[in-house]
Amino acid sequence: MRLVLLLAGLLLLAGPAQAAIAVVQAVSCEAQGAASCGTPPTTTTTGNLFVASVSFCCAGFTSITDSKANSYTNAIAATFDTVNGYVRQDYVVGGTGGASHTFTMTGAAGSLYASFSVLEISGAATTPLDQTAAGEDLGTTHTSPSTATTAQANELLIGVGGMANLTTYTTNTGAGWTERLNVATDSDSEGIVVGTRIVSATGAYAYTYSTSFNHHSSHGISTWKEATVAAGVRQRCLGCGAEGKVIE
Amino acid sequence: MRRGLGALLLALAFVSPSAAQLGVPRVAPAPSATFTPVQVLPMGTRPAGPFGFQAVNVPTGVVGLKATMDISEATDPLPSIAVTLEGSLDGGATWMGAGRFDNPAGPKGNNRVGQPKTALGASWGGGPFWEASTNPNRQLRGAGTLGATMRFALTVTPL
Repeated sequence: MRLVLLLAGLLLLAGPAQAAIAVVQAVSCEAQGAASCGTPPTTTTTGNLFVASVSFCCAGFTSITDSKANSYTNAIAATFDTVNGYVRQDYVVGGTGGASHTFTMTGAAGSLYASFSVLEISGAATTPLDQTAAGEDLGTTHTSPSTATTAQANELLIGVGGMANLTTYTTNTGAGWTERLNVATDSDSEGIVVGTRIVSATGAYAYTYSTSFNHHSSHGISTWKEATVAAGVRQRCLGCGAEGKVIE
Repeated sequence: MRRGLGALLLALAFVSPSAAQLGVPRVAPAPSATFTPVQVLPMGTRPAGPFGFQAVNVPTGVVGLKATMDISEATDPLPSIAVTLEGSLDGGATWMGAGRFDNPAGPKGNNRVGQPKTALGASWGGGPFWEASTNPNRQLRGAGTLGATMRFALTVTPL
């Protein structure tokens, strides 16, 4: 019976295979008047995608660096909330990982208040960044601009929101979002809310969250393509024993 | 659909992979209680060079930390400041990093409401130390370096 199931499963699996995109872990730090903060060290995997989301106020933002000498590319440019707060996203594709991996956010000395989250993502395409959208709005329910239609069905969405006024945040998890970081904006912190969502259909997507304070909030959303193995690639039969029969 | 059914049939034929292998996100749980701040260094004038605080126990349920330097009695401009936290999962036998913050020498600057700054610091979350929230053997210690003499106090608040 097991052999029947195996054969049936292998036949139905013929064709392009996909490595499921997934958030592996998140680390964060918040600078409260200090010019830089570094996240706790963690073990990451070389080749994964790292996406950093930042909310900052009151002093200039300088850089995101890490202990593995990865070079970060901007995905969402600093987006202003018309008051004095910004959000942005930067990323590394196929980054160098390993043990004791730390991430550092640096800004101008004196009055930097900023929150910073790094998501490690597995199963992303080699050129994963697909669509982005960013803006700001006024109120207690905030919705980023919608992206253009995504290029493929299976993608990971990452949303970020921030407000320079004292507030708490709530991600709209009812729309399929998972909240990854939630730091209230208070007298010591420039807060941030970060959420992720995995979608399985192309479309135009937005990030929605709520704030306790009715005011301007800046936000953004990025979409990241899942890796796809090309059709016709010779694949190894998993579980077929030590030699592993090759199927096409 | 076809690939989904194929995957299901394969799964029935073999043992399912673990959550770790599937890349289930390791996200720290939301804090379930409010924790009391701990002043690990009282207000005092400390010379240039290294300073630190000895290990304190970290209660279960704590998923992060806020460290705040009271610089209200420090002269302006401030010297350079570097603070590194370390955590232990085994009651102090071995240690790992738990976060850090830095500030170069220069004017104190203003706080978020435009008044002269009286505190600076950072908060942290994530990583193996802060995610081990059910571990009853966690401890935290800190070390720092001052570029010149400075008067300050240091408080840590579990999150």
